[in-house]
Amino acid sequence: MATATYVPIATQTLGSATSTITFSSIPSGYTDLRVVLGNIQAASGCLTYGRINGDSGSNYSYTSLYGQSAAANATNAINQTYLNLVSAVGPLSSNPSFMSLDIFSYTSSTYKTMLVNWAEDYNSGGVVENNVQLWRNTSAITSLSFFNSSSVNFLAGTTATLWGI
Amino acid sequence: MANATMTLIASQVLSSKTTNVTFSSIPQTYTDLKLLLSAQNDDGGAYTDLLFVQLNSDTTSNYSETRIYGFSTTAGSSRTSSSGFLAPRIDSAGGTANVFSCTEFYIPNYTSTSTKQIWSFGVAEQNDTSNAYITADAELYRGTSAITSISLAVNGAYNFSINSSFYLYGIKNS
Repeated sequence: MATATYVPIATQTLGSATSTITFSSIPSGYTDLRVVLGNIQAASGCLTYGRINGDSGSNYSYTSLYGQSAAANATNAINQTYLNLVSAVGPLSSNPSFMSLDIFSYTSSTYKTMLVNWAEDYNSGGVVENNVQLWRNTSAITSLSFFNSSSVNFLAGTTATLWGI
Repeated sequence: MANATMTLIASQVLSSKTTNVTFSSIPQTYTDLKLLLSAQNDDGGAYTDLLFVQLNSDTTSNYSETRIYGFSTTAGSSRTSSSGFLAPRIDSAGGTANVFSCTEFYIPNYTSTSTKQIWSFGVAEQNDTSNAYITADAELYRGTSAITSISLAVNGAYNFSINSSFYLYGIKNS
C-alpha cells in the first residue's frame, strides 16, 4: 500500500464563540499543509485574518481575485501584519462560509507561498475569492492562528481542520 | 502518525453515453466530500454547457451561487439565486475534439443539518481563443438534511460522453 499522504493533524469544532482558532506544535513531517475552515460564522460583519508562528511583523502580502455579485475584482496589499484571507465580505452570522488554505513547503528555509479559496454565497448575494498569500520569513511553520477583524468572534459550530500532505 | 483519511467512496468511468450520473447512499462517516470529474457532453452545437448538480434529489429552489470566471479574454462575475440546481460549466463535443473539462467540488460538513457552503473550481480549456472557461464558484445549498446523494446532468438533456469520469472521495478530520 502506498504511503498515506492526506493526514489529519488536528481538528476543532467550536463549542462556543471564540476569538481565535489556533493550531500549534505543527509537526514537521509533511511536505505541505492544508487548512479547511467550514461552517464559518461570525457574530457580526468582519474579515478573517491569520498569522503564522505568532508573527505580527509587516511580513505578509497578498493578491486577490474575487467576484462579488456581478463584479469581478482584483486587489492586493503589501507589508501587512497578518494574512488577509478574504477581501470583500467575511463570515456572516446567519450563513456558513468556507475557506481552504494550502501552504506549500512549510518547513522550507525560503519564504512561504499559500493559496486561499473562499466561498460565501448567501442567496441574496455572495462572494467567491481566490487569493495568493506570501509570508516573508524563512522559518518553518509551527503554528497557525485565525481571527477576525475588530475582534469579532467566530460562532459555535465553526469547524477547523489542519491536514498534513 | 495518524491515519490517512481521504478515501475513494465511489467512481464511475463511462463506457457508454449517459444522461445522469448519480452517487447515492453516500456514507455518513466522513467530514467532507470531494468530487472530481473529467467530463464532456455530446452537444455538438456548443463549446460548453452547464452542468446541473442536485443534492438529495432536491429540485426546489434551494440552490444559489456566486461565480467569478474568465471567458477567453474577459473576466466577470455572476450570481444566481433560488435556483433548482448548481450549474458549473463543462466542455461539449461541439468544441475542440477530445477535450474534457476538469471540475472539483469540495463539500465541507456534508452531514450537518444546516445549510451547506460548497466551493467548486472548473476549467474548460479548448485551444480556442473565443470559447474557453475558467470558473470558481461559491455555492450555497439551503437544504438542511445531510447529503446522501449527488446527481449530475447536462443542460438540454445532453449525454455525458464516453470516457467521462467521476470520483467521489470522503475526507475525515480524525
